[in-house]
Amino acid sequence: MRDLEERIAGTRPEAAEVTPFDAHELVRRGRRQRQVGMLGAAAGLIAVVAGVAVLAANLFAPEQQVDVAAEPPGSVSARWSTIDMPIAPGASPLVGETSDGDLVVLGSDDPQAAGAILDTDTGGWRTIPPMPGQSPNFEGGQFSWALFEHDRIAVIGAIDGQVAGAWYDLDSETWTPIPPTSEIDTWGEAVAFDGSILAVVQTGFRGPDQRTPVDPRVARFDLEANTWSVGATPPFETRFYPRVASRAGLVFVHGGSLPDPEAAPDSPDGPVGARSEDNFLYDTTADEWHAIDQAPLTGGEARSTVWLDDDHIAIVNYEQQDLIDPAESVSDNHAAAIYQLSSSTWTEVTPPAQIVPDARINYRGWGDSRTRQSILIATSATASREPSQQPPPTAIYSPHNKRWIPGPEVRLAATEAVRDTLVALSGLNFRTSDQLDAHLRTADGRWIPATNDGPDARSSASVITIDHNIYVIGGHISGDRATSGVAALELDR
Amino acid sequence: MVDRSDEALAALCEAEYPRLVGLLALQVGDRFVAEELAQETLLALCRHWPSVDSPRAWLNRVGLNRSNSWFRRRYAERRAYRRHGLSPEVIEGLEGVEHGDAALRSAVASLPPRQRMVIALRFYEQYSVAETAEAMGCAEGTVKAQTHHALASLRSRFDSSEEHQHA
Repeated sequence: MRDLEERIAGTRPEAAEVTPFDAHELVRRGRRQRQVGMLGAAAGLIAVVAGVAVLAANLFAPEQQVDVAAEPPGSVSARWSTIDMPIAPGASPLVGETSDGDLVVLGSDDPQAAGAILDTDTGGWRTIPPMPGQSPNFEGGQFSWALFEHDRIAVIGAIDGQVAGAWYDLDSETWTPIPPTSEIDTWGEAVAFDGSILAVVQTGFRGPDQRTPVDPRVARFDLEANTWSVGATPPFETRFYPRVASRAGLVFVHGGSLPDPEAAPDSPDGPVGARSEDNFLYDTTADEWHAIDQAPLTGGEARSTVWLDDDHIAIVNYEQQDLIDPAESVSDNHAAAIYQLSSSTWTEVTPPAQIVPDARINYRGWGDSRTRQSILIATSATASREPSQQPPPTAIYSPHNKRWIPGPEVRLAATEAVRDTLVALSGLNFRTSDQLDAHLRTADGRWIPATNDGPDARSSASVITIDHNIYVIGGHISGDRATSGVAALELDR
Repeated sequence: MVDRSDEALAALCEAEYPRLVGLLALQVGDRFVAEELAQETLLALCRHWPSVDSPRAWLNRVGLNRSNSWFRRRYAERRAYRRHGLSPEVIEGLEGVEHGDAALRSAVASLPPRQRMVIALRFYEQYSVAETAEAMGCAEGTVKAQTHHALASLRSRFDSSEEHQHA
């Protein structure tokens, strides 16, 4: 047998072997279709001049934004469907994409399966067997994590007061237990996984009341060697509740409160002292810590939340909603800044005043699941949250081109990038929406709805984009009723 | 500098057509389907011609996307057949037994999407690992891993097929 590689190269047909076609006719047809498209674009330009609020055409253009366009923007549409699942995935399941483009769902109410994998080509499911031994309370356990990288799933958390778990290999379809470790004193504040090393980061305190200080530390589990070790020492002091985010082997640690040595032992808030604004990044693969400059945030007294993607860190300061007097004019209750890892620079995000002129803004972050890009969504905080009322104005910000675009007139819950098309999703909260909804951003900046109605709205669902499809998995369609199917939105162009 | 004249475009279409058919046949496993997809892709090239700077790379990306869409339609059709009581075995049986290049195309087309893409780009298009990674938008390590898995799968398939014939 000839070597396969040569045989594959040899399958190229000669010109005489293929069915002939008229190339000149093809060129003529292409030119006609192009001219029709230009007429449509001219009509769109007239609409802009007439006052329709369409932002610059290059905003979120494919070459600048969410994905490299394999095919230039043209007509695009999307259609909802539902896919039955062999398991009930429950709330907020872990979802991921295998290297073969299949959909992985971990988290199941079924004791016979820990999750399931959808072959996106055939539509067939295969289940993931239950974890060996005791599960670290993956579903809802505040000290449990499930992470997916390079066709491996790692589940880790507290078992009998120690950090332990198991990892699953999709190729061999086997679970391997992760033994308990004594390398750290707490259940950790953050966990990162690069496919080979699982890192658990502890930042400060332990005990049931979180009052006993411990040294910041990293415990690393090597999947191949099946051993725990201590990682690089964190370059910061012991601290309470820093904001943390992890993704693809990176852990970002922001701020937190330093211990107050003069605090009374029975202080109800614990020994909480001054707030810190410093930032640190841990690289699991290199086992290195990096200090990052403070963010240019002017948010006043606020809480923070952070997000991390492959090239950006986002910090958003916010005030708890119930602490804000609705009648009070507060201009600095929210602030956001984004750090680009590749250029080591911060950018303060200016509020989209042209879209939300009252300056009371709720920021939410949404790491687009496919491009792993942090996209911020701003919503007017003064608008009504009632389903029967007009949806609040929204705007969408991408760190890539550092500008806002107006969102569709829906209760925007998330954005996803499907190749070169930005998709806005709503209905990820059954309390404010009746059904899932999708709007697609066209090349000329309009938002168009999906061609059919979506399935029931659902809360605590997980969203992932694979190829041309957006999958909405798990969650609840009422207070106590879990979904049993996957809602799929397929884009066609 | 790309020659944007109609004559140059027609000549490009004629020159690229057989190569593109071969590439897409490795994706869909059927030469005639590949010819249709190749012509659709060339028509799209004609439509977007003023803005295409690297015609071959553009054709490969768009053609491979269209072959993926074809797969999705095909599986939808198969699900429809199954709903009407036609078993998968019968559907497979309708496609007949193939030999030579047709069998190889069919075997490549039966691989998972990324594996068949990496095989087509690496060994049909003769892309380097880096070029393949760039075209597929993934890491070089992923290309190597997918290549390894794909070749192992193909070798296993052909080895067992030859053993079966010799038995």
